Amino acid sequence: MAVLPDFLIKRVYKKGSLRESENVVEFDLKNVLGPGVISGLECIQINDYIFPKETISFVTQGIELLATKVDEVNPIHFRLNQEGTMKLSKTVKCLKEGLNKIILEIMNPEAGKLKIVLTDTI
Amino acid sequence: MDCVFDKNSLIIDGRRVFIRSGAMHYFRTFGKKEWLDRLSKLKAGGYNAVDLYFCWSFHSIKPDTYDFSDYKNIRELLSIARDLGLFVIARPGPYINGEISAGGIPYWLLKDKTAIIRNRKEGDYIYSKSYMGALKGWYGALLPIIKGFDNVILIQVENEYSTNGGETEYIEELAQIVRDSGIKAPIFHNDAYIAGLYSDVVDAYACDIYPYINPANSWKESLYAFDTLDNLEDIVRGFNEKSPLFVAEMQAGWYDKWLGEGYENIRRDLGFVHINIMTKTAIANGVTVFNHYMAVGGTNILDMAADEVYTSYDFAAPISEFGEIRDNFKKAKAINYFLESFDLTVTEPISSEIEVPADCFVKLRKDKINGCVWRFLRNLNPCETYIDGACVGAYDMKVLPSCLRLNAVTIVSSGLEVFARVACEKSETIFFIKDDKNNVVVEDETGRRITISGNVENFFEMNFEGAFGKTKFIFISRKISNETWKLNDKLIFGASFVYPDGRIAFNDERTVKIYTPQNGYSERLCVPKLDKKKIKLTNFDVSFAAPEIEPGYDYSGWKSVKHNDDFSLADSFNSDVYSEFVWYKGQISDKATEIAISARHIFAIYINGQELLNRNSYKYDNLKQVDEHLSIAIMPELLHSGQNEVTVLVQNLGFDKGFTNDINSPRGLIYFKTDTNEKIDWKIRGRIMPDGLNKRPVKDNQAPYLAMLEKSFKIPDEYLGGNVFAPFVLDMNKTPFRRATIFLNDVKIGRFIRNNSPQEKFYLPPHFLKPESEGENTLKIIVWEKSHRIKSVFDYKNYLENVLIKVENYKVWELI
Repeated sequence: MAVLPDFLIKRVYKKGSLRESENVVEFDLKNVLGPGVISGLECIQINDYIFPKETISFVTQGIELLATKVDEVNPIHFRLNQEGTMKLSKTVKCLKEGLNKIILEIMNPEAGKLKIVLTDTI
Repeated sequence: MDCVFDKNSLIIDGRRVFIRSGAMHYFRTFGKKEWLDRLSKLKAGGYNAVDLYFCWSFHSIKPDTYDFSDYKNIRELLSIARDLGLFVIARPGPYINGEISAGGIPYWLLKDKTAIIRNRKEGDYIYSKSYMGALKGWYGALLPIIKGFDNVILIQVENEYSTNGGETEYIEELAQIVRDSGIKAPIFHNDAYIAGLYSDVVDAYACDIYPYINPANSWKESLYAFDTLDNLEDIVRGFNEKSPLFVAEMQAGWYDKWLGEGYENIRRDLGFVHINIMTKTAIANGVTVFNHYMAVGGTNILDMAADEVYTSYDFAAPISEFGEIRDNFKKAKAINYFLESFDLTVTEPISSEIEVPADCFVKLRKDKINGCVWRFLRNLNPCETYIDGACVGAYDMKVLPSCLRLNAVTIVSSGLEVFARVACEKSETIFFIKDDKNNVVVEDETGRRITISGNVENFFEMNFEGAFGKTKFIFISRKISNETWKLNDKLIFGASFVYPDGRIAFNDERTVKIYTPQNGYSERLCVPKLDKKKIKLTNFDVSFAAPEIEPGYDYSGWKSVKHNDDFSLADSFNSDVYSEFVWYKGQISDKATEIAISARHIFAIYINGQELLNRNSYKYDNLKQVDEHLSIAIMPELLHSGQNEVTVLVQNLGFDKGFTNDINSPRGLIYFKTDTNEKIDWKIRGRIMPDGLNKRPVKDNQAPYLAMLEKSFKIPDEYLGGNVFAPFVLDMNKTPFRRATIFLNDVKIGRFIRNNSPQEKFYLPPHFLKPESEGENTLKIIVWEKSHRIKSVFDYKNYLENVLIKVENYKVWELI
């Protein structure tokens, strides 16, 4: 029901999980807040690099869900204490030493578009 | 009353108490008679507390003025609760949400540009002295009244509050104001996020739990909805070890919205099943303070409703808007009676090796008071399922005793639930709910074990005698238990409901059975004498209600509206006009051929007294109001050469609640642009019928776009007397209107908007109804939007005069 305040929604992000390999950036989420529904993974921005929908997937409970396939009809049920990894395909290096800024835009059936601004240090 | 607590429970005057509370909005149930009825029903249903929001805007229509008289007399309300023996959980806001317009913040404060409501702007914390000054006025008026009632055991500050940064100063200050007022009850705040918000700032931590918020989807198809509740104890104990598990709002229904599914659909979906699961799962998690929200439905009268809800605020609550006992009440009653029978205030979870089938839930709790173990078994499968040897029906949950020592026997294990226990001296009677597929195993003092099948006749008895007294088991069906009432040491079977003073209600001929442990059964025949009263209203007195639409109407005395360069207008609120209906008048040239317009929420445009457009512009999507922007061509025949008079009438449906975000205020005409880009000198005035609901003189040439129907009727005294409970409703089902505003004895009691809500029956609160001995009642209905099939003024008047509207009892219960 509630549109979560910023400082709470940030708790879903697992601090220190941001990592980068040759062609993928990953970070981890854990739902410590309560059962939730994600009806759209719109876009993710890390620093100045914007990852469009086509480059995003979410791996949870052993299943990789492509952002392009997530919508109101096929939402992600993100249960309490469920964990997952956000995988972002990329062609250039986009993380930097020190503080990195992450912006997630996701959809929730009740709350509409949610913009979550996070930071992580590597 | 001394109320303290430890981690297990509240301790009131030295005694542990399991708080079984139900929420009632006194500002949606009106006056002493109705409060007494609803609170009596709560008490009879085994609730021991009532939760009361105190609504600031309901009492304060202008700064520094507080009205606590008549149906706003909260002293009377609190006295009734006290006299019935109900504890009170007081929730004075300042913000209460509750689907009240602006969450209960008064309009006059919203207009104060220096006040930042709730010290929060776009989620960020900003301390506002003028806001705090105003709320101190509210607390200053209210808290001394609350302080006068020592049955107030808990008091809440703010409501479901948070900021982006989670700052605590505001909650700290509110708590200090309450403490400084001399109120000694523990202070709490209800955390909507179950994230430990303010748990270190207030005395006791509490949270809200609503697993079902979208009536379009059945909760049975999204079982993860109970994740939070299932893990509540672990979650809350992660940040709070000092106070009892306290659910300040435990879902017991849900509100329907404009464009919603309708309350009967919500009831069908939630039913008694949902409240059963919610409440028992909470107890399984060690909750010892719960509040069913809502326990009592209500009615949005005047302009109190937030823009998303219609007149009925039935909430699919255990006690309906009309005061009827519904199925979820019967289930709540059974749980309350069980909790009244056995003290579960000190329990702790114990681990188990029980195999848990898919979509089932099991929890065991060791009871340190009764020395037993309670098994909580839940089955969310659509078929019955065996869990730990007990058969649990589809979507059912059971609380079952093991090793429970009674006077003469010990219940070793049971697959049957206990409905109630009544006792006197050394004699006790345990009422079980019959269950064909389960047994009870008992052991007597000699160590002999007896297995008793749950497949027995109604009122089958087993008697045991031991050194510590007698124990009798009586088995009744779920159906019988639904009409069984526990009053102190007796049970009353077959009553529609009872009042705590012993009066029994019935609505058909029946035999009511009364049981006491001392005297066994006695019977009483109940024969109703009163029929449903039906009053057909027709031959209405009709007057046309909108001379403002007519060309030449003098509006020179109206206020001016600031009109911006981009053709947006300062909304009605910022023009110092706040009313459900707002008029705008101005002039446009004969060159204009098109109008672009946006208004909230329903509006009509008239040019030279003729209707150009009548539009229901109410849209709600994803918890947000959606603006509608329309363009409409002006029919050339409406325009005269030179200047033309344009009139816009806007009906707004209240403010939003401002639950998470700021209160979103544009109301009235928001945007108006002609294709000729004319700067219009807009004038504004609030209200239809500015001189009250007095009839206007009728002229045959009048624009009949708004009409008032008036009719008087009498209610025989016996239908409003003390020996009957017979709620009256107004049935709009047969009317041809699409929109109407209903006034009963000049109090606005309903908004009928056919396209936006399924509501056709409007409750006539008895507080506003006069019995025949005190005179006639007057019904006034203002109808807006005439049928396009009606062309002439004469036809319209004739058609309205002959409309048929019924006033009748919803049901009639007599009392003995």
